[in-house]
Amino acid sequence: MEISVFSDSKTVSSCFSALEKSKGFSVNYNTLSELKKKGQSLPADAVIYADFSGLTQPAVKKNLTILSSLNRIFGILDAKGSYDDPALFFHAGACDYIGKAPFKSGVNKARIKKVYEYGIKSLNIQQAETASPVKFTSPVSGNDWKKITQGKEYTFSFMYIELDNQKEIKKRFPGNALEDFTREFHNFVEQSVLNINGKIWMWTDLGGLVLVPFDGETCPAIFTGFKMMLNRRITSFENFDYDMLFSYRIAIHIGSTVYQSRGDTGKIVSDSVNSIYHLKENFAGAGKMYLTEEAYNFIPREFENYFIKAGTYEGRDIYRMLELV
Amino acid sequence: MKIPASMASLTVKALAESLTLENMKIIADKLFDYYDFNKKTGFSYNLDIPRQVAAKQFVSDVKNEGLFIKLVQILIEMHTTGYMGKKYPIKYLKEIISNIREQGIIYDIENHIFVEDPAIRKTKNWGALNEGEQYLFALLRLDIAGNSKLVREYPDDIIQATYADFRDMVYDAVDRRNGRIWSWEGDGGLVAFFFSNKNLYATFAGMDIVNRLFLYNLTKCRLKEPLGVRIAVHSGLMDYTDKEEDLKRSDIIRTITDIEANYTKPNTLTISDMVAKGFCKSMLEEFKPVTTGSKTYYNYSLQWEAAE
Repeated sequence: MEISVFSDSKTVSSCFSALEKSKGFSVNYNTLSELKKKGQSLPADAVIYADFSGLTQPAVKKNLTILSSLNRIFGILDAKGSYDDPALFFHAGACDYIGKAPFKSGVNKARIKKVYEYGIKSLNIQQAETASPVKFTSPVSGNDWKKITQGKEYTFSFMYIELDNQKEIKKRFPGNALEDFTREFHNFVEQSVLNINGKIWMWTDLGGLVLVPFDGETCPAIFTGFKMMLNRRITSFENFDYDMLFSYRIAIHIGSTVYQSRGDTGKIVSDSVNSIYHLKENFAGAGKMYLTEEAYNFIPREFENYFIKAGTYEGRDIYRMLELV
Repeated sequence: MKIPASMASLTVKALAESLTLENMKIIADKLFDYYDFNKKTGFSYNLDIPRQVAAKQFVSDVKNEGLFIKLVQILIEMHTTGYMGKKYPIKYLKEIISNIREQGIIYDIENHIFVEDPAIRKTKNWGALNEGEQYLFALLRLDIAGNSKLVREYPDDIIQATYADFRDMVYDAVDRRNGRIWSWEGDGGLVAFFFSNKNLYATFAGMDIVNRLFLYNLTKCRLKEPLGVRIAVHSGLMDYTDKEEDLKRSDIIRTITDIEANYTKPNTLTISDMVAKGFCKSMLEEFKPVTTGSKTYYNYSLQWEAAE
């Protein structure tokens, strides 16, 4: 989505910095004097923000008239909170007003989406048919477990996390020590995926498959996996008192499976479960994180530079997170 | 700390039933410059002071002088490690410690002192350190690089919000490791670690902040450029003080400031040799040695492989 900002302030971009880093959004900056000319050439469903901070009353009137005549979705920026009655802007057709506090905290993706939806409705704009980047064969599970029922098929994020160098680990922790160590690693994985509603679904030996609810829009497992790779050194030494640097691999995929609770998954036949298992077993290298092309479609824009194409496996493009050296 | 009458009575009982007057005198010598049981109790020197009377007077004086916690610390020491090679079993010690815990103070076995329970209260001195006394600390220093330039370039609200984010980041990273922010000046500060593996905790906090800054700059930073912070960790003996001016004069603070300002690039962490020498080999491999003259420092930074 294209956001056009018209402002004479040098610092206006700070309000849109989060949005600039969001995938699927781009922000362009123009001076207020360009509003009329450039505004007319913008697409019908463009979102415009005009900065009215410090403008005189006649200038406000003039620019508001221009904005109304453009018949576009627009919002007003007021970094200093100088307008006592922002309702006047809405009477002229504005769909948003960014006062002092929201200007300070910055505009985010969720707000722009709401503004856009509101603007589309109120201006009765025909939305361009945009094809979803990914077609899902099963309904998405939603971003929590509330609507997920056993025995039904959903689209989930799959996250396989497994320790490398298992032979050495088994030698180092004989007998009961290995059980203790495995429990600690299991708990670490469980804690790491807690805030994205992830659940360890299957666990074998020194790794397991985490199922993360998926809403069709974002894949928080990518950020969580990225953080786990970034913090691997601290985690190794601080969470596990063994004076050794762990190495683990992570594979993330978006696909479908019938849901059954943990421990009751023996009869599940799922291409996605097989694929991610094969990927981590036969393609993934030690200490690395991978995304299938289905997951890569949902990578946050700011993380794109930290992934490279690693090849093709079982007919899918696979992307790898850059390594910390 | 408020000492309830019941706890004082229990301590009187513990002293009277566990120690002779001579033993009590040993304790008195550790707590006071001069303490005369006869003068305090009014018993003339040719009379024996009943243990109950001596203990009651002593506990009352200890309480009035704010030395009650120190008294219990000495009793624990006599009970566990002993004095001059002899152990003195103290009755009711468990109950006394348990009563103190109810007041939000817990016993730290490693340092042999009572400290505040961090789940209940958090103060600069962990509720335990005394002004002017020498302790071994690990210190973490943080400083936003190019602060003056940023302040000139960006509006105040952007700077305030960015620096508040940074402070929250630091607070969370040190708080979970029982560190205490000793001073904070907006663009950086000084954090102290005292307990357990203090050097490791201070270093983990520094590494954690380097990693958090990376993610912050990637996803949330309001500035057009990454927020840059120099981070250093150093440890050593120093007198504890509440006064920031006195803190600045200490050698250890001067050293850590030098490491941070002169040997640390933005968004990296440098630790001193003092800190690094206790680390295991695999932990130390995460750091790159930086030698300058006779000194060696160790630097942690996020280095990514080049994308082809």
